[in-house]
Amino acid sequence: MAAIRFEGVSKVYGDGTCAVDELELEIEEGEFMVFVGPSGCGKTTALRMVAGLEEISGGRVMIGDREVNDVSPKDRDIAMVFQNYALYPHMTVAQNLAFGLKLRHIGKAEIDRRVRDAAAALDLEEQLERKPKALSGGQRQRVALGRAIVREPAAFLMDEPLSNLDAALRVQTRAEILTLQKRLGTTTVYVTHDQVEAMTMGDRIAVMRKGVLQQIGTPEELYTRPGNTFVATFIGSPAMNLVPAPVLGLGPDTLLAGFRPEHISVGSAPDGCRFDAIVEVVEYLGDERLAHLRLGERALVAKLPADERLELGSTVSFGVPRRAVLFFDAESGFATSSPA
Amino acid sequence: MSALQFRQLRSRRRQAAADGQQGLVQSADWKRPSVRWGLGGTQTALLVLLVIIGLGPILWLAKAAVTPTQDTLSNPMAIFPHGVDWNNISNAWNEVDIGLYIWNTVVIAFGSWLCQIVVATTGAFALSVLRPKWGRVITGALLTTLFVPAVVLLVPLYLEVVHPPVINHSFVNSYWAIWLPAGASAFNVIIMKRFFDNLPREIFEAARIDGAGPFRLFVSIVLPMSKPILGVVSIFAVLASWKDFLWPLLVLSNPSKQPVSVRLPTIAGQTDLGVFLAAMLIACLVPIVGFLIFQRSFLRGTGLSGALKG
Amino acid sequence: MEPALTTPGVAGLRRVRPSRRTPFSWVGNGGLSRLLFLLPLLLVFGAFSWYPIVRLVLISFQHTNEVITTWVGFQNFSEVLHDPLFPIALRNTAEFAGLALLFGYPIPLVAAVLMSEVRKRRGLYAALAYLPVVIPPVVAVLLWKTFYAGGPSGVFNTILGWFGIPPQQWIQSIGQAMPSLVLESTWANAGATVIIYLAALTSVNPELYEAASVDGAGLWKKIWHVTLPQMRTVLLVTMILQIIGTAQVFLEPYLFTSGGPDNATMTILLLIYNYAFGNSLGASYGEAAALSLMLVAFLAVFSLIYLRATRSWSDE
Repeated sequence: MAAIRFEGVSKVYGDGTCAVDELELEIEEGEFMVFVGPSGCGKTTALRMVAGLEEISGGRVMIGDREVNDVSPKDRDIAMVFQNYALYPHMTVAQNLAFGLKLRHIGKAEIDRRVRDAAAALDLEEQLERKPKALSGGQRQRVALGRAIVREPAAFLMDEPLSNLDAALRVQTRAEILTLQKRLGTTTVYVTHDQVEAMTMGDRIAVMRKGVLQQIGTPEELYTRPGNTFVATFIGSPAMNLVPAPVLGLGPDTLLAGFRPEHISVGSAPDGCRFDAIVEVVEYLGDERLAHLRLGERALVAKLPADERLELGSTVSFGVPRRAVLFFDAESGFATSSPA
Repeated sequence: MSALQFRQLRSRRRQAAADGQQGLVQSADWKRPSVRWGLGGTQTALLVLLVIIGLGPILWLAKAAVTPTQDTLSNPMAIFPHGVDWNNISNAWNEVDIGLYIWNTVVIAFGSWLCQIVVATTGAFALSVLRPKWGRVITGALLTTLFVPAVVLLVPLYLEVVHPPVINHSFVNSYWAIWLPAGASAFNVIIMKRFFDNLPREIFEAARIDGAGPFRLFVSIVLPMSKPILGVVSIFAVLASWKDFLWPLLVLSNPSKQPVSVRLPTIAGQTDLGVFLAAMLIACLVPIVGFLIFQRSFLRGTGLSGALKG
Repeated sequence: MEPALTTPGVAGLRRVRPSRRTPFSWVGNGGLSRLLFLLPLLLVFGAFSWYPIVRLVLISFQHTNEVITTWVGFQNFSEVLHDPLFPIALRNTAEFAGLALLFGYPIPLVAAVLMSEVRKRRGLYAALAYLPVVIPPVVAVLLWKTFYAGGPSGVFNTILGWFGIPPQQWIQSIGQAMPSLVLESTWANAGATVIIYLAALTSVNPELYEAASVDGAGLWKKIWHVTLPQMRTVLLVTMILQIIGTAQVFLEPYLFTSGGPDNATMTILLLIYNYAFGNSLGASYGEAAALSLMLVAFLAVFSLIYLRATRSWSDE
């Protein structure tokens, strides 16, 4: 039985804009599912429809074996972590954590136990009597997490919880959230626009664009076998190179050939295709070099070993292994099999 | 701009003001003697003027309240030529019974304040957070009353108080005739609604998920977060009530129910000047003391309302 | 395993289930609580704001003596217009509003600009300026009434005596009565304007001043090119609000002079009051209502013209 299921779920606003278009999706029990995509793609709207904060225009959302379309948020047994934390500013951390439990008439002893356990798990024990404005950003974020944890819900819903943290804190907190989730085993739906976050955290990733689900799969599946050009260029940084197949002599111009920057090497590849390109800019990153190339009118990016030295402005021969190339239909963007 | 960012911006501005970087005159400018003497001199002159003009009349009142009437009449600007006379004050208290009228004023102010708070908080909460279908119509109706000058309501309100449409009982000389109409302040509702509009919606959503219904949301979340605006509205409600004259004059004909502002002009002719001035001083004391205590809220509220009207 | 894909959806809806709207779902969706929360507002405003406004219009077309009410069409309006006191009240009110604007508008601005540059104890300046506003108007007026006592031993006359100026009649003089009222009114109210200006001044983005300094602007240039434009909206709104407020002046003429001497301080509001409550036998509520309506209509039209004319200057 899936923990959360979207059955043809749509969200259409009064003026006709469609934020989510017939989403079909199943999330397994205990799974860490990431919704990722550019802003406006509908990922947050989908999340909020699970939470009950957005009305569902069409289709149904199932939590467990219950249809929850008309169920109010508090009865859905979910907990949410908001992007801006949404902590109650006039309450202490302990009160923030206890609020939802009190409203559910949970006994005082049980509330105390849960609050203490959550505070211990999140290293908040010293902060219990302080108010949110006296806390740092990272601490506030943990209180927001704690508020979700104490509820012991069937699912966590997280809406870009790390986007307000600085880079270093983000990396650290990412790992903490994952560890926590693995320990608790709670089904989690996590929304982010950052594909690195998605790749590192998700058991499975759902890529969305303009309200439409593009592909759903494990990080490895999305990376090595993207289903269309959008997923191919969205996942992975720097983005996959896409050129019309004829440029590499690999097929008719109804096809696009895609290959990732790390598959390009200087000189010819064993069973590969060859192409000549002008080296425009080289970025030295310490452990590797990013070379920005120009092939005709197209810009390509290559990830090369750090000791590969290229002369700027020169034309160099590059190679790509044949089997590393993915093919897409030029018109629809869908992945296709390679031509013979 | 999130609440966090706003706080950071505000503290940066405060720091800048403390550094003197804010405003027309930079700290570098102040070092120039022409600026320091010219601008500084003008500011000192302004301060002196403010003391004389703003404080002067009140100080005179205080002095005259404890000066025998004869002295005040013959030599008003002299300072205690024949010593201090506390009789005026005791007479004001006993004969004029200023205490009763101040009490009436307090009762009226309290009731008006309560009505205004109840109407403004519940109404603004409904319009801003609950958002009913007819919300825009109601807000529009409120805005139009804002532009209707108070004079419009005098005559019909008076007739309504004397002959209420449904109930067959005149409300003349009842404090309800003052309390209830005081609640109909569109200004209060609008600034409170604006304040509620600026509360982060995510907090309401978090509360919803936590299981809070509308009443819980109102009592446990919105009201505690609204302390600043409640303070501002309260101060202006009490102040407006204390200053109110024409409406209580019309509605309260029984002297023992009248507030200070209505009573004072009535007894002006029959009372000894010194005693009268003492009574006026006592009547001033509550607003002045209240102002000194709540200065910041007063000034912030006026600035706020001025900025909001723009 | 083949990656799961969906076809790009057509932006149309299939299987949309309309939500059932029943009284239960209305309550469940919070409809009842919405109504309950709105109830105080609706009741109070309905009874004491909206209904009286409607009633006012009705009364202005009626003649009532508390027993019988008759419809008299525009008779009330024409009686007001033909009242010899009407043009006098009109002129006096305009005089008051004009003088009040002359003194009560620019002076607080100058004071506020000076105050905004004060480093230490700016709160003291603000408190002093605002103090008269806190005093109940009745007290202020009666206090100034003693100040204005004629004869050489009145307070102001004594002060004038220090500078060798002969004693003035103040509110007993036809020519000086209105200006005396304006003087007291400005004293009592300018403080609020100062605070409003001060708030607007201190909210001007300091980076604009810094940019102007870098561009080489001196003090006056900065005031003209940065301060005033940033305060546009506040300045415009304050002016119209002041005009509307002073057009309804009642307390000063009522308490100082009862409209005298010789109707020199009879204002529109005082006239309305006299129509409704001033006559011992038979109040003319209809005429009071008619004049009220005329005043409101005039102010509304004036505001519209004002807003039109200043729209090009204001930020919105």
